Amino acid sequence: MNRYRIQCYILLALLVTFLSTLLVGCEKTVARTEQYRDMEQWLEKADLTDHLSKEELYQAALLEDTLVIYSVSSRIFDVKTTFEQEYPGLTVDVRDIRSYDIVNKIKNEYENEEYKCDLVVCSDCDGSLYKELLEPGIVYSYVPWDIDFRLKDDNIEQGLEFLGEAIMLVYNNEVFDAQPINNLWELTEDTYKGKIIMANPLSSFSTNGFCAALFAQSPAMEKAYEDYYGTKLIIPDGKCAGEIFWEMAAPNIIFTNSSDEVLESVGNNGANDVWIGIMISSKMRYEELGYHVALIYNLEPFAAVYTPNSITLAGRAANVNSAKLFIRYLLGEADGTGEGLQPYTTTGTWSVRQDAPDGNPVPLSDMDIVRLDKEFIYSNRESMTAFWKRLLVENIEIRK
Amino acid sequence: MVRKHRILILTLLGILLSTTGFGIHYLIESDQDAKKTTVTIAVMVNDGVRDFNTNYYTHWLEEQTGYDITFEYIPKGYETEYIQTMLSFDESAIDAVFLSGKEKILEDDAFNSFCDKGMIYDLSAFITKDSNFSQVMKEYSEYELYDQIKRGDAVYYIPQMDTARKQHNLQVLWINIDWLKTLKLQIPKTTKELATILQAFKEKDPNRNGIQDELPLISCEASYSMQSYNYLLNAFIYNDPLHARLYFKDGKIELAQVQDTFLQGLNFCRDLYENGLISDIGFSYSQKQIMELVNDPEDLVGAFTSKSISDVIYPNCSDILAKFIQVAPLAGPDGEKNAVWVNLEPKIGGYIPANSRHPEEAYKIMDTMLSKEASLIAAFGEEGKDWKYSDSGELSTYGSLAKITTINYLSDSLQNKNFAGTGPLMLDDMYANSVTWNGDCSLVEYIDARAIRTYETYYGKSEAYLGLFPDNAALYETINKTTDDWILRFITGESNSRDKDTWQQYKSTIEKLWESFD
Repeated sequence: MNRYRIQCYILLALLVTFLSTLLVGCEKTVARTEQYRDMEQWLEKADLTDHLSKEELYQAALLEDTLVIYSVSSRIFDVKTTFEQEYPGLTVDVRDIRSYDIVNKIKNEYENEEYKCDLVVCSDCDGSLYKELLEPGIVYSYVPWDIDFRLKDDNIEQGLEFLGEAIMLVYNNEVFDAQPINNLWELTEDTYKGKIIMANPLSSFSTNGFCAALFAQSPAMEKAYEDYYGTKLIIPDGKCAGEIFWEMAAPNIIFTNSSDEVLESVGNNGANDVWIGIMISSKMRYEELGYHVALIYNLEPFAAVYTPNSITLAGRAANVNSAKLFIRYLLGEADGTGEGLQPYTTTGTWSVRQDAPDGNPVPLSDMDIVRLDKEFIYSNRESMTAFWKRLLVENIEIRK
Repeated sequence: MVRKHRILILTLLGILLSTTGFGIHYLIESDQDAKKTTVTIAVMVNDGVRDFNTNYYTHWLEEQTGYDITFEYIPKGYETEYIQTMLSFDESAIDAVFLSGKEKILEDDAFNSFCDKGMIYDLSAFITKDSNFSQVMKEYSEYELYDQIKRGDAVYYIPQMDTARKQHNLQVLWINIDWLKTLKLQIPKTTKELATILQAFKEKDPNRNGIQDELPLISCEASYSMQSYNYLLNAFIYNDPLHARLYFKDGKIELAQVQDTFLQGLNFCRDLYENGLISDIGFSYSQKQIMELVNDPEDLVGAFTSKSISDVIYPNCSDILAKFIQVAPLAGPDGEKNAVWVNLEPKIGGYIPANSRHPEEAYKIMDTMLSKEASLIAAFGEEGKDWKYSDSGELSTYGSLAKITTINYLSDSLQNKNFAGTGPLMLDDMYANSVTWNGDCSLVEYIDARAIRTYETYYGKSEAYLGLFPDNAALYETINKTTDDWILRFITGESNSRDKDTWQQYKSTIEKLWESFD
């Protein structure tokens, strides 16, 4: 009898737990469903396939609040200035945030239903912008109808790419008359100890893209090794050529936080005694300020990884018309001559439009450049993070 | 039926017991609350703190010490009067005064005078070997911290000291990058290049408003770090105003300010001033006025010097912060390049009026604030919410492995997690210099760290002199006062540095002062 009663109590307790879990689950599902429904309503109202003229958008934007942009590109500040002059009455608030943080911030805001952002300017070097924001419908592409057909192929597949740039090797052209290396494996030589600088791949999206490309391009890296050393690379089980390369090169590298610091270290008259850097190509615009840096275009097995910047509209954005107008402006308006494009036509940038020239004197077609394998990077994120954590701890500790 | 009754009785009994338990617990709590000592602390309004009384850090301190803490705000504009009046009472309602490192109410002389008159509590009787105070003194013995704090055998305040790496650098030159780009100019590397740039700033309307309203280089008398001419003099000779401009040459201590190269530097600064390239407007401005000037949306300033960029630009003005970039130490005509290394100095974090009703309790609170846990809250906020210990592989703003990962940066916002630099604080430099960057290029900590790294290379020379200079504050003060006065007169043209007799007169005045101390 007692045993029967105990069993009843246990069953009752289980039932209560089950029901409460079910209730919480239902509550969450209901909330999520409501969120989807709200998003659909927003999407319908936002009409991202509109055929509105810029004047119509401007008039509608005047009724809206300050446009909020989360951006990895500091040049958006320049665009903001001229945009506000071009469209009096509109104001823009730019928040300068790293790509890693932008993706997480937008995700968190979506989950908490705090929609603070209108536009997201971000590169997608590990596929997370596409996989975690675009695909689930947290951010959206908006391509102005009268600009769409003027864009080069591949620029609107995964969000609207508005700026072509690449993560590349640079060298101090005051120390060297010509590029000092012809093969990536040269960076593993003792000669380059403390002479190479790059951003921490765990915090720099684009540098992470470059590092991962070496993993993804392992067969090419193997061949480059053989070309340089004249012998076949021996690859232990479970490793790849890219991994071996980074293990050998890391002790030579100074790790820092950003491409700005790479530029300053390499380009500063060789004063810091750093010869080679890996940085985002668009930083070459600071060359005019007196930094002595030159890009390396051709290298075995490749010299650059194409890492374009995208602009997307944040779901549930409060200022949709301002956001659409800003995108048009950023792309140089319908004919590509607009002021908004100007900050992005500098050395180290390539145009995404067919009707606007590249900022860089050397076209992408003349470079040893590879595109990011986002699928590969995204699916290997965890193992690569673990790999870099180990490598950074080992090598930064050593220098200390 | 009987069973039902029994269940009912048991249930009621349970409710009764738990209610009684709660009641007893409440009574005990209330009793404890009644016995709690309330410590009242006077503070100035801090723009970074929402409310000291409801602050997370206040609650934490209350939990740790068992006291109630109440803050009283010192009326703005009447700070000195408030302190003087408060100290003059027989018994004060104020148990302690907390100060912010950036502003002080009483000048050192006035504070010391109150100490000597017995109006500030001597804390030495409370200090025990195992107190946090003693631990901190031991940890920072290399800076002779205890010697810097004590007055005779007495200790009158609990310190606050920023241990960040950037505090070691006296000044950075910041230049308007937008103006450089507009005029297609390069970041200067020499004093000669700087002069050319400043001339272009003055004449070529870099802010493109059609008016010649540009101030090429500003200088402010509020601190040595904001005096841009002291920065420029370092391109001619090692010019360390914090050590009376002494330097070490061939085993002998020399005075930089009487050397020919110093004169050369002075003449260079004089020429800049005469041509309107060092703007005279800042000479009479306070730091606050300089901040208003540089943050003006009209974009009026081409260059300035400061210790941290946030001394001049508001940390939340990202667009203004993005306009300025650090210039590495400039080379003078002979290739001389120097950066002045600053010894860390404690500031007054908190003190106790001699008429306090709860001096021991107030001391306990201040001593608790020197603990590691308190320092981390005071610097970064609430663990887990505002910061966490870093994962492996994260880099600090200085490029070393990070120890602290910030989740919310509190330094550039109004917050209620800590006292934003008010009160005793001694954060271990291991943590102060190992904080991650959030990717925001306009984050002050990141901008400062980038700048300081370009200056550290040029410290070496000054570091070697540490400990070799006489430990004589009076000497530094007297020589500095005279030298500073003359420098200003030379630069503004009140005295002519190119006139041999005048220069000789100045030189002999300084040399005599030096000899009198010898």
